Amino acid sequence: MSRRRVRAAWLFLAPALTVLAVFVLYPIGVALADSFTNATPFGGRSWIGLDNYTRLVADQRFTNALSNTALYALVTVPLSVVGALGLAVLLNRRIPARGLFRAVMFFPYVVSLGIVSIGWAFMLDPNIGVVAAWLNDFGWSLGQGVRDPRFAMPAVMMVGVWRNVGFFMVMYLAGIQSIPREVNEAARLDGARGWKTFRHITLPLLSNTSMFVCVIAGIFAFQAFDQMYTMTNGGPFFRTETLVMLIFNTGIKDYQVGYASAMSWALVLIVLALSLAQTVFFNRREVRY
Amino acid sequence: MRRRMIAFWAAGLLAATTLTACGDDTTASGDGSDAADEVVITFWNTFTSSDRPAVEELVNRFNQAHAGQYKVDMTIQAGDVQAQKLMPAYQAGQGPTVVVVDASEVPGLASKGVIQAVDDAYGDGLDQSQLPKASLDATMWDGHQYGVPFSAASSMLYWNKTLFQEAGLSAAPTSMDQLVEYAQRLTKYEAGADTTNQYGFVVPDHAAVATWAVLLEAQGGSIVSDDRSRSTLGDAATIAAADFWVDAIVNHHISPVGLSGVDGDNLFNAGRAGMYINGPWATGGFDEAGIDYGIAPIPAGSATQTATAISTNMHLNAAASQAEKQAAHAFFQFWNSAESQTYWAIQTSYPPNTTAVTESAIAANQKAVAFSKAEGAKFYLGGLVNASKIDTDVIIPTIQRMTYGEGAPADLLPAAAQQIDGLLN
Repeated sequence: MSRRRVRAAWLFLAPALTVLAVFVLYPIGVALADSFTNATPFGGRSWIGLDNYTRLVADQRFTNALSNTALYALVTVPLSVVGALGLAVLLNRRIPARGLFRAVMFFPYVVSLGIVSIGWAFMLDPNIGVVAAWLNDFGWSLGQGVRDPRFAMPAVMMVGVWRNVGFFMVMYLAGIQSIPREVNEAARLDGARGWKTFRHITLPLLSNTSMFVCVIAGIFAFQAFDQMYTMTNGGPFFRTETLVMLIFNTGIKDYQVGYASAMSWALVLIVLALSLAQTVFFNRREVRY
Repeated sequence: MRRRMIAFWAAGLLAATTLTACGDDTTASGDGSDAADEVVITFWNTFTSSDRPAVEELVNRFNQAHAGQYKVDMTIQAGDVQAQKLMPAYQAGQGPTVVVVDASEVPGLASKGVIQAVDDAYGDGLDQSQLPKASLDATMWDGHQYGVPFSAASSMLYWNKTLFQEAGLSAAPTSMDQLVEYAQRLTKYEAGADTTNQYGFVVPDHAAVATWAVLLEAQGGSIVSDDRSRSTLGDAATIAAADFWVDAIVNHHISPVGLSGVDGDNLFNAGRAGMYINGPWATGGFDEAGIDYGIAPIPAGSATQTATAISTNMHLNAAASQAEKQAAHAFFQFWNSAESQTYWAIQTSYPPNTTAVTESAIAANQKAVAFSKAEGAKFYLGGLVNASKIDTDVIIPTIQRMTYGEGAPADLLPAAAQQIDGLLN
């Protein structure tokens, strides 16, 4: 390749690389440096070594947020992934209004989660909410709605699943449609039908898609913030406070930038470890065709 | 060759455009002046409610009266939005020249050095003796005056006359025992269905006028000692007061639990709450909802009669130039003038800031007159640097734990007091 073409390529890449360097890499580096300091916006900063990280271990609020986030991920990731796969298989069939159903399922992903969460909070309100009123007609009480410690976490989980399932469904639809037709035809000739085809053909051949969806779903779950912020504000008594919400409260409200940076890096490491574990798991089950 | 040259220059232009977009606009004026002689000051506040038109009108009047000399460029935004934007804006050197915040924020802002003392504003046309003493006291920090009153009021008891009449009641309660008795008569609780169709007395625990602090204090409890040196939340008197209210709310279902101020407003607006403690800004919404209500002082409890003092004040950016400072002083003086405060009180139901406005001058709005008759008002967590953190991290979660049955006051309050002690030091 001529030097001129290489130079032109770098020039084309320059805008994107500049944006990445200024708005992604530089803040990540600054956050890492801050995590070893007691930085605040108004009090300067001084080096405190690993103090912020050792403080994390003893911080009950951090432990609580971590377990809330883990619980949220444990419930929403399988529900979103399995739900998306089921919907993708269903909506890959020739059924009436298939396009409409696909659009309806995908719609929650393209609207602002903050805004729809406000809507959900109203709908689940025991005093004025339509969902609460419907459930009441069947004799089911939502207690105090999203203010109730029994229902707050399930409510934000439900909104998280509702929001993401359509997006993952589209990923799975693309995966299903990329499976070669001859593979399915061969299976049919061998007498495979329904569940057997799904179990032994569709599911294995979707391993790459499943890996992508599971990794993204895990990242989404560990980044959960919007619906907690608007529906419960992390309450009642921190029952729905996630790691990102705690980082926000610590850094933006309490101005403990150094400590919030340490929390952010702990989150980065957790997500990285989980993503690597998922990648290894799915790589061992990868089916090439 | 020609195509390569075009690609080369296109890529270069794109990169240059991106870098230019990332750069600072160095041509913008940073000295606070639009025209040669007009000084523009930025002004942030959170009066988004029914009082917004009155704020806008008074700012317009100021701008018209000082056209060519001073101009107030106002931004009205939701309280949580302003709270999140204010400190980053100050840090970036883009903070407002004048900001209105609650009195509880003063120690935090002053100790961080983002607002400046305004002692000299009081020698510049403002008469301290005519302004609310509670607001002046609340904006003192380190021996200096850091704020000028913007609005001052006290929480009062709203009572729904229609619901009272239906329950065979004719007047607001005059004691806390009577309030609880009335609340039980007004509450329509369906046993077994776990739902309440009508609440006697709505008690929010967050994002609202501090109601729990008033209820505890009325019955002999308190949150911090008078000298602010330790928390009294774990004292026997506070535990007894908390037991009294937890029993009324949880066992007698007089109020939903975990409510925010907006939730409380919605219930009262919907005619589903008999009584509710709030400030004067709520009158607009209640009037709009067609609620027939009365306003009364919060009843005396077994220990004392008290209310929450609500004071928002104007604060001057520590980085304000001399010209901006003069413009701000002119605005402070205008806002607290008898003419402006008469208009303010009549339009919003707030009591006027200045004693230069007589009761007869605001007789056109009897709600403003009523709000000027509050008894024993005190600032919630006033003078504490960590007031906001104490409230959100300790008091609110503890109240919610008590009312959701996660523990008895005797178990939860001493631990909460220890947490507060850690934040006081």
